Amino acid sequence: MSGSDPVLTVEGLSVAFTAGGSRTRPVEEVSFAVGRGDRFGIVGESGSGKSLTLLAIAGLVDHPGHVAADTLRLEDADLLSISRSRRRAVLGTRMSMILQDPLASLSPVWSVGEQIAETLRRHTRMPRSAAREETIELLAQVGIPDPRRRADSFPHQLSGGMRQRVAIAIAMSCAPIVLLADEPTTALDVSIQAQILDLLVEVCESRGMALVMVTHDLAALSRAAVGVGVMYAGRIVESGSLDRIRTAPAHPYTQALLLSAPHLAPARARSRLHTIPGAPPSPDKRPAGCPFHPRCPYVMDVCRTVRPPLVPIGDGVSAACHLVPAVFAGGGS
Amino acid sequence: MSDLLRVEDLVVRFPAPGGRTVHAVSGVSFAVERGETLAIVGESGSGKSTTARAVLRLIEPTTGRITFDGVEVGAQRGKALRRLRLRMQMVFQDPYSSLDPQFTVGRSVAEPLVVHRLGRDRAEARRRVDELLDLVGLDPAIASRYPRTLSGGQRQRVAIARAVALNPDLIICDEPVSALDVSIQAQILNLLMDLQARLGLSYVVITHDLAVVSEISDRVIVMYLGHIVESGPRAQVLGSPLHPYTAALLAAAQPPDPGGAASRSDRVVMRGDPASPLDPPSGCVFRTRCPRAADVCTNPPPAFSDGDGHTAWCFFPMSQDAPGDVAGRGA
Repeated sequence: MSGSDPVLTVEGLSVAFTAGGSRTRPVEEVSFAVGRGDRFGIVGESGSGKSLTLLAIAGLVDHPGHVAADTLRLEDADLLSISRSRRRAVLGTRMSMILQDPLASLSPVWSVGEQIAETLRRHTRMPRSAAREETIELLAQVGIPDPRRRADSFPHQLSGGMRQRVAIAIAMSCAPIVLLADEPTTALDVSIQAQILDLLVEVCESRGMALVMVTHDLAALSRAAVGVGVMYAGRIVESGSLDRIRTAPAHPYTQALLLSAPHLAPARARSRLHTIPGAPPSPDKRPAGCPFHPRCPYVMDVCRTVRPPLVPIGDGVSAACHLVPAVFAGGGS
Repeated sequence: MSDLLRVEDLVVRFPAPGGRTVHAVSGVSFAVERGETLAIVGESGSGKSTTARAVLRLIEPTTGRITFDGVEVGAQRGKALRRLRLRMQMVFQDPYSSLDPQFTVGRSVAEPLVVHRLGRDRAEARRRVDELLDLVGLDPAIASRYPRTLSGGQRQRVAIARAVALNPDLIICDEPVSALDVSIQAQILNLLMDLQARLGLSYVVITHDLAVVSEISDRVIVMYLGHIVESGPRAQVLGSPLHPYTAALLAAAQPPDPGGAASRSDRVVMRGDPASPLDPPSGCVFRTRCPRAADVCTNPPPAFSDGDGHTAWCFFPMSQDAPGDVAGRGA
């Protein structure tokens, strides 16, 4: 989806779990690529496999989970074949990750400055005093007021927004090429969410860093991402530019999701909302054929048995729907 | 007086360690009419949930007067208070924690009937449970299942069935859809609106989500750090906000519209974090984050109204010019 050479390439990524003789595949054949400085959002509901996709890319899926892919590459490094220790090095320096709850990812017993300096020293062998200065510089860059003093604060002394800024500073510390973000603003208040999303965009732009952000929140997505993959039941069902998908969604699930989301429309009289019948299937009870077919208003016979592949439908958009290519081929647009 | 609920000058303070005081709610007044939905919007620490709990008398107000259908809630004791509480119910954000995991759905829904001795006998209670489950769009067969086997949306329907079991007049919904998937939120919001139309319910909906407010409320109160900063009809508060805080919340909730008509000059960006309710700023509590703040804002803000019951408490409401000298802003 990017013009330049992709820095992160994901092709046919699947995650399987085997437990008690039964096997589930919460993530199935996910493919996307991001170029330098791209900001790609993965949006989906609970159980769609979006967070697990991110963990699999970061190499954080442990036994009994099993990750398989045709390609999983960060620039020239094949993430599937490198050793565990090499992978750890990659995750610290060329790819880093921020999580929903920074209180859970930060250590409560170290000051935030020590935690950033630790990351720097582990990955770059920087001397202690230089690491301290670099830490203060990083805290300033993520918008922490009075960074020299704040570096000595402990996570519990900071607000949720400040903690997420610290997590971003740690993630940026070794100048990664790709930043993975799992629901980075879900735990924050609305006004703080906007600040953190704007900060993510700003650091990605200023450093040419690519962002892969997972969220369930369409507003957060629109604020930070340029490209988007919509996940449903373990698969990407539609991907392309966010503007395009927001204004002209092709897949029936994307259409229904955008229609049913509560809207800020003060001028409109109060009325019933559009709904999608039923609920998303759990990973162990996914229907055959197209996983959305039991909830789809346009379901055809073929949808119940044949899984539609994700195919380009023009304008840089791809969709996995038996109906869509026919409609778009006929209609043009 | 057709108001079902009237809250006058409610103040709630809690003691904090070190002899300090949490100023949770500071002089809040509002009314809810029969059959209407009032949304209370605010972020964490705004006092919105404390206000709701004080209305139900789950916590004792420090000062202030709460009247429900003409009866002063604070003056009721024992049986009279229980009878009053029958008519006010609450639906919580997380139906995982509001339903007893050891109770079947049927028992959870029947519990309020049993507690208040409303079911004459077992068969009648069971009939009523079936009726309630059907009312909230669930198959009555679900009565024998346990909460953990239900989806989030189904659980919230059960919680709503429990809340309407006693034929209340008012339901306070605390973030009723925040824990639900996007595609399920619309189902629950529709259910709340359907029940309101069928049963003549009044709602107080507490939420941080302006899109939810836009979909279901008639009137809106915006709270910040224990104070109401703006109130009025939904279309006015969300469509032409008067208070800079409301404007900033709206700007934060709406993504920058690429080709949109939303005027950029109206975008208000909040600086920093909210002040602490342990030590709220003097005068306007929003002034430490307000882009329009000036020295005068250290005084209590005046009410500014543009008619239709739309009021903001602010020296420099959005419909007026910002203080001319930007460099002179205080805080």
